[in-house]
Amino acid sequence: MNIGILSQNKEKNITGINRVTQGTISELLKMDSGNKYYFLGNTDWLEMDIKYIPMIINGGKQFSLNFTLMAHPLDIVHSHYRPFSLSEKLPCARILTIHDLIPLIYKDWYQSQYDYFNEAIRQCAEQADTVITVSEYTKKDVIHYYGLPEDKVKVVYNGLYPTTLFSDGMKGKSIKALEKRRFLLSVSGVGPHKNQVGLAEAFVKYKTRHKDDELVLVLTGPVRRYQVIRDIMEQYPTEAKNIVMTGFVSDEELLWLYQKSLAFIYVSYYEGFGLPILEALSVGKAVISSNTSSMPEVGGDAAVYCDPMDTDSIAYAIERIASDEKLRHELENKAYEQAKKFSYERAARETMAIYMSYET
Amino acid sequence: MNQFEHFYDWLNNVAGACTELIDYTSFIQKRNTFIISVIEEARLKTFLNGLVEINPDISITILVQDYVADGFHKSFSALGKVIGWKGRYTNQVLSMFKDELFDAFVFFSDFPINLRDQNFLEIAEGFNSREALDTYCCTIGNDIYRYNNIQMYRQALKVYEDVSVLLDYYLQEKI
Repeated sequence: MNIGILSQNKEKNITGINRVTQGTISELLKMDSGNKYYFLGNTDWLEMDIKYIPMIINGGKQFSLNFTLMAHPLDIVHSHYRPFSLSEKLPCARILTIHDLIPLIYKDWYQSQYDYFNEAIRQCAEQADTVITVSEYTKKDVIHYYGLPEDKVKVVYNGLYPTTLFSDGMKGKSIKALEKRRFLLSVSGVGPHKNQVGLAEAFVKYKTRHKDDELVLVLTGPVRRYQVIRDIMEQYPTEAKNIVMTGFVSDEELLWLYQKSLAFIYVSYYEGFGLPILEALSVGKAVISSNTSSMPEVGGDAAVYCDPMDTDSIAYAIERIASDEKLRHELENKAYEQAKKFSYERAARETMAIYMSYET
Repeated sequence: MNQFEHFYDWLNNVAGACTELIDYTSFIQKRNTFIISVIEEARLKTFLNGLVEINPDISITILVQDYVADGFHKSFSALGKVIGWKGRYTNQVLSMFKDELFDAFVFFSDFPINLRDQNFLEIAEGFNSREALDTYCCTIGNDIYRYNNIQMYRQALKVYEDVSVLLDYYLQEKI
């Protein structure tokens, strides 16, 4: 079969979705010599040996692939991201991967993307022959919000691409201010659903209850530009002295942070998958995670769970991890095994099985 | 090769031939550059530093949405002049700068590749019709493209869009 892959198509800007695409294609190309793969659009950014079909992408939310497929017939089009339309008169199976429905669920926070999810992606999902989701939870959401029949939605979990978070032989580079500190690590974006506010508030609560504990919370990434966090720190200046915002760090510094941290904490309200949890598990870290959406699927029994809506619950999870060395070691021992359950080799195998179901 | 493939590939090649991946050295001789920046403060800073490094005498005017103009002014006043604009960018931009002589127009875009928004194409063509200037697009990957024939590029895109729409109608039996 001739299989066309559609993704974000952004050169040199490897986003999470691009990584899913790369991870899956790289393994498919290794294991599947019977089918031919084509990338739809520019492949400058894609560092792998795959043929491409030229395409002019317009600015529309959902674009037609009719012209492209009349010129270059394909048996399957699989979009990892972008909704597309394709006439039923063209003999081609349509597969759409949906990573999450965050703007649909948190409309107030992501108003600008709501219509895109409610119209363009919904329409494409309805027209698709198969919808792939990256967790069982997202599958439930897709069935619930888009009203799709259950047997049309298949789960293919993400993995890590590249297969290790840090390159072999990389050495960690310490951050001086943290060298003698005991800390929890948070690596996260700053969208409201990431609940960095709840995390800061919970940590302040923890510090209020454990004044003698020198535990520090380290927040990496763009969070220091987030005014709400700054407001909390101004409101609780004593406790907030123990919240350190590093900004963006180098890979070497991040490696050191993972190595040196007591545990990794991620208390997002909702994830379609929960890649940061998998990343932390892959380096053998004990994890505190939300008990909501897909996160327990990724964390398995290698994490301590909390309710992200309840700062007392988060503070209690911190207390358990901070005070119980035996528990931390148990989680660390389970982390690698749990991480091994997720790989693009598995994702490609399961994706290929879906493709093969369309072989006539 | 079927008839559609031949035509389709030819059309893509025409559009592709109008664009050229270049680097900052293309701005060595530029005196007065006009930039419309849709978003992305951090990436714009990288781009502006690249321009100033290669050409310290370059004059830069940056048009951004009104609500971010103050922030952009704080960040970039040392590198260029920041002006606010309300609503969609239309050919009214040409009227706003009718007395300016630019020799480069940059669409600083979050598009994956190339200048494909009709409004920006119209603005680029408008500037081109009144003075000799080069049109560029800096994409999300920080790649810089120069448009060597903006009129032909726009026509190729229009033909692509028109054929695409016609085919959609044909396949829906609307014609």
